[in-house]
Amino acid sequence: MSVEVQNLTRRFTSGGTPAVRGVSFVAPGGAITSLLGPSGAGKSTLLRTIAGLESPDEGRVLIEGKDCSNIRIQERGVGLVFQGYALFEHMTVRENLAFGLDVRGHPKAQTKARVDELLELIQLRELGARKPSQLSGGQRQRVAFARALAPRPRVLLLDEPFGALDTQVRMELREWLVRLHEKTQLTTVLVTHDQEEAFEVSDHVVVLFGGQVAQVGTPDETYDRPVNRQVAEFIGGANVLASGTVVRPHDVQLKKSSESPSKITALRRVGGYVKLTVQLASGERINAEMSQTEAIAQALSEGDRVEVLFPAPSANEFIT
Amino acid sequence: MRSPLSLEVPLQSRHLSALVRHRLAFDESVWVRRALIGLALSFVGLFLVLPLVTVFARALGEGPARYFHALTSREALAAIRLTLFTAAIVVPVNLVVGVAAAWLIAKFRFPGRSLLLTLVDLPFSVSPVIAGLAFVLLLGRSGLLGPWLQSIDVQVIFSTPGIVLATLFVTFPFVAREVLPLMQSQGNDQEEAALTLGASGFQTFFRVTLPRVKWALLSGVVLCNARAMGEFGAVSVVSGHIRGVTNTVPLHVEILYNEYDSTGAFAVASLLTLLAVVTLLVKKFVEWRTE
Repeated sequence: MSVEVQNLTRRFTSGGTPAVRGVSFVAPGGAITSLLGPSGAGKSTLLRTIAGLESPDEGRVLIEGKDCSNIRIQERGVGLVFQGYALFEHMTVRENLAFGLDVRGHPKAQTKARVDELLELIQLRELGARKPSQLSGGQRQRVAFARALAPRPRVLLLDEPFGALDTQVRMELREWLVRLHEKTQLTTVLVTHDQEEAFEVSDHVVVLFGGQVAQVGTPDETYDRPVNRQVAEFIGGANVLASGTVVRPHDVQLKKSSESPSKITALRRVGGYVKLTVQLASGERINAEMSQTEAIAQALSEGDRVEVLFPAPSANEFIT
Repeated sequence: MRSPLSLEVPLQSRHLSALVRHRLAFDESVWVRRALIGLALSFVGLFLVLPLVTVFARALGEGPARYFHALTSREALAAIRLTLFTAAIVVPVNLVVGVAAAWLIAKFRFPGRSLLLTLVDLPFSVSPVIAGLAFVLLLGRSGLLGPWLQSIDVQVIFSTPGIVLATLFVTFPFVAREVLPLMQSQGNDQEEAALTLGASGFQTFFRVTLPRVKWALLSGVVLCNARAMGEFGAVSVVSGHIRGVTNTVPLHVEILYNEYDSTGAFAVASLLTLLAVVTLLVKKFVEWRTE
């Protein structure tokens, strides 16, 4: 059930800059593939084109190797989870879940059984009679997932599904998504601007910038071997030195030393670790991270002079 | 009691002091407030409530027997029948066309969209008398389409079809205007969700789009109906005032009044007044439901 995007271009104004430009990638069957990039990278447009809500100006979308250009949205067998849930506000949770089956004329008894099963899956058995407005954000998002799954789609498309939730609920739902995926093994394409989210849940990552694919690979590949400066900086907030060396903030080692030309220009504690900005002798500023324990042990504070040690640059982390 | 705007002040306490100041601002203007409320209430009483009360007082002034007699006269019944007949055609037509227009404008981008949007408002910006006149000039005996209509033996002006057409024109914006802003603010997300779930365009419209605007729709229908039954200007021009044949309720009221039968005029007018009261109650109910 793979999804393949071939040379896709989508313009919103004729002659204008395309939102998506010549994009190709494969989302392998049964895996979670993330479309990762900053806002405006064309991720959502790409997802909507796969769903059939947008039609490409050039290129095509294949699901299971079959060209979808002439297949209507209704027949594509995709389940789409929207950023803002897009639940039917005038229907109860049960009615929302039953919608995709009702409109296809499934027998009532069969629909009811499926809705029960889905309510069980999202652990909202008791709340079937509620309206979406009476649910919390996390509950609404789970209903949105279940609604998309109800007609048994071949492909699940998720558009920033956790974007509107607070951090804790987001963490829980991410884990829930991974467990859900283990159970269903459904080919999934996830749009996100959050690299942590992409790395945590997905098997493959497609990094997008300005409507074009920058890099395709596993999370580890994109992290360890970024193809260019942009990818390196976007993923993991890496420092790219003038020499071309890529250094991750947590790989930077600092030692207090009054003779050193480098100095800490900013220091901020974020829970269990400390984020620092260090000005090097060359005038370059780099970001560093260390545990709170280590910062206390060295009694580091803003303005301190520090010796900066980079790990031996691996061949992979060298950008030409 | 102003809090210093230094960084040490927690955000919450700054909000709190803003609230306190807000509250104080209200207290200061208490007399101004009372004066304004008094002014508004006496204005409403004088110009809206008093005339309504007068209509009923005059209608029942010579006793209920005279009142019911005025309502059940042959000509009054004919006028009521014609008004109901007109509304029975106009309201459903404008309901369907109004919803279709609002739906097109709100959910689609197409050439001519802004022209359609402007045309929806046209009947509101044209004086009803002029609208009536335009129909006479177009469809009357010496009008543009007059000879053709005569050749197929159809009379529109000074006859029921003309009254229906004029009323259709005048009351067209009500449904579209009530529904359009709501549809626009709701966006397309739920419709798109319905499509991906397998719903056809038809199913999406009837199961998602329409239920979400039902209260606005009801409100539009009620207003459209009130105007369709109460329209005077446009209908007056195209009707020809043939008693018992092309007289609607408002036209009948005018005739009675011009003949110095003020009790009769007010009796018939009380029907329209009742319609107004019912319309307002339904509107109020809709607003209460959508809160």
